[in-house]
Amino acid sequence: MNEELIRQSEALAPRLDGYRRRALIAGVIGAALTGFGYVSQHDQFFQSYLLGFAFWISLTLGSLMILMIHHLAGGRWGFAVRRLLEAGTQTWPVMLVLGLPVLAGMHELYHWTHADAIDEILAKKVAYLNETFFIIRYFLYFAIWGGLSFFLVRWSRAQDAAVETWPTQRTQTFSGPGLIVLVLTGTFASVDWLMSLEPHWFSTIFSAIYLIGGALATWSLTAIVAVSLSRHEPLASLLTNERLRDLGTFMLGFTMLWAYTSFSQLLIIWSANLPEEITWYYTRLHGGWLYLGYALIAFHFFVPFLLLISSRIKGRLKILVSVACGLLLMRIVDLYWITAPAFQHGSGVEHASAMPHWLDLSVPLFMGGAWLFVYFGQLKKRSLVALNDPRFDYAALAEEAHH
Amino acid sequence: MSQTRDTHGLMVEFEKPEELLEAAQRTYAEGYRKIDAYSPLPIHGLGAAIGFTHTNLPIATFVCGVIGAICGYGLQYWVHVIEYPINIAGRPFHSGPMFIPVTFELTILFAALGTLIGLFLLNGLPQPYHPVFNVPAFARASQDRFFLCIEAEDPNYDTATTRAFLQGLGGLDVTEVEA
Repeated sequence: MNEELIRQSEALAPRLDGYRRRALIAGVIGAALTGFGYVSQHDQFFQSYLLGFAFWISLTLGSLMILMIHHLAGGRWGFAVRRLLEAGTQTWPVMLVLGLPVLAGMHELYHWTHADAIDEILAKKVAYLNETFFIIRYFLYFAIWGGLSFFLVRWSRAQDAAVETWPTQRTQTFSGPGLIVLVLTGTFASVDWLMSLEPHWFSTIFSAIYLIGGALATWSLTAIVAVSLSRHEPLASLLTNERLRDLGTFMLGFTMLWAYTSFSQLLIIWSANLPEEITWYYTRLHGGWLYLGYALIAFHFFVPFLLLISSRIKGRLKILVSVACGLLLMRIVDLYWITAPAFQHGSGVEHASAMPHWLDLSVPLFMGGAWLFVYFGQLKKRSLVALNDPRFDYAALAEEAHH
Repeated sequence: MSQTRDTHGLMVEFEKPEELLEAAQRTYAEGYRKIDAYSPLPIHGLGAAIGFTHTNLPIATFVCGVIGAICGYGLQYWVHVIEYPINIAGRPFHSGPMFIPVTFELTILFAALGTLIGLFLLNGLPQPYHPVFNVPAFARASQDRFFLCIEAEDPNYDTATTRAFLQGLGGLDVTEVEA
């Protein structure tokens, strides 16, 4: 059985190479544009760069999160997409490198790095918000995420080769504390990279919105890749229409969770109307940003919600893939709505334009190319189905699928 | 009681859920459509096996949810904007975000009630009398036995051949169900 699965997976290598090549082309085009932007649009460059980085690292974190949730909770959906998630976690080295310009551009992005911007309030935050600690934390996060990914993949490999069940048991034990560590580091990371753009402002649910959004983006990407791989063995037997619909159900769940947390933040801050909190929304609920906010409500919540709520509609693969693509796009729009207004200072908020710069498209394209290049490369390296996992019986599931 | 009693159908008893599932599939394949299966526990795939593949219940849930949302928002709008506007700390009368939690709660409430009422209506409940209870062994349908019934209304129903077919399914007793 195992040899058969490995052989079938190897037969798909040219297909994955094709995806890889396309990712590489997109990445190179994006890199060229981004490089040109660095030279010609220096002010805008780092703002767009942060947007692209925040989006793609959230897919790495989302992969780690969903993979560990699967190891803890089980479920047939997880066996079918385990390799996709594992490949997603292995993108951390490329994100570590791609994030370095954010550190280099600290002075352009975070005004708490300027000594003359430190007022009475920021002075109290200096113990945490200072350049050295910021850089140390950056590497600490990646060390932890890399460690999580390393062990999860290492034991997954060990299980592929072993008949004994210790690697699976170890992964299960590891995933509980691992998930806690991931959520904590993800929380601090989003406070560092995104919330501290406006260092006077604070929201305790902010990081939850970011991490849930990352998981939603991961579900969407996983659904897209899963649908395209579901036409061929070995995954054709696992990724039945029923399993693909499960992915749609998870997308629905995380769409609602995103809406719930995002709305909670708005409601609490809007109704309290306190000067130190409301400024963040004041900018975002005026000018072009208000309309972008309405677009988020419509296309990040209502449209995907109504399409995914019906099992008959989300069972149609074309619709499922379209919704997933739309959600990925809306994730970038949401992050744009969160980050970009932070750079508009001074008066004229009421008539601010929410028009994105072309760099806001080219940087995500560049990083996406790099991310997906690594992702499909990792996917190619191993059997597309987990081997020897004591919790799941490929042969039985495959037989069931053919009935 | 009349002298000649009508027949509701023929019923066969099983000891295991797998036996019932297999028997249901074979009965459906044989061409019987007016069939029903009784089990003390949910059996995955049994609904599909007896030809129950479609339900309108989600539509009832959705429609009631939408009505709930409209009622929730509408009620607050009517109270706070039209009928009894009060200035609360200078906030606008029409405070959209503040209306959402109640709208959300009423959506859930109406959807849940719609599901419950829809469930009763679509199942034809309450139903104080059902012929299958005339079979004494059926008391165990809520404990540890599994039953399959082919109803006399089925066009393929014929007392002799249907009885022979049911006996061939490998269950325990085949009983005639009095209407």
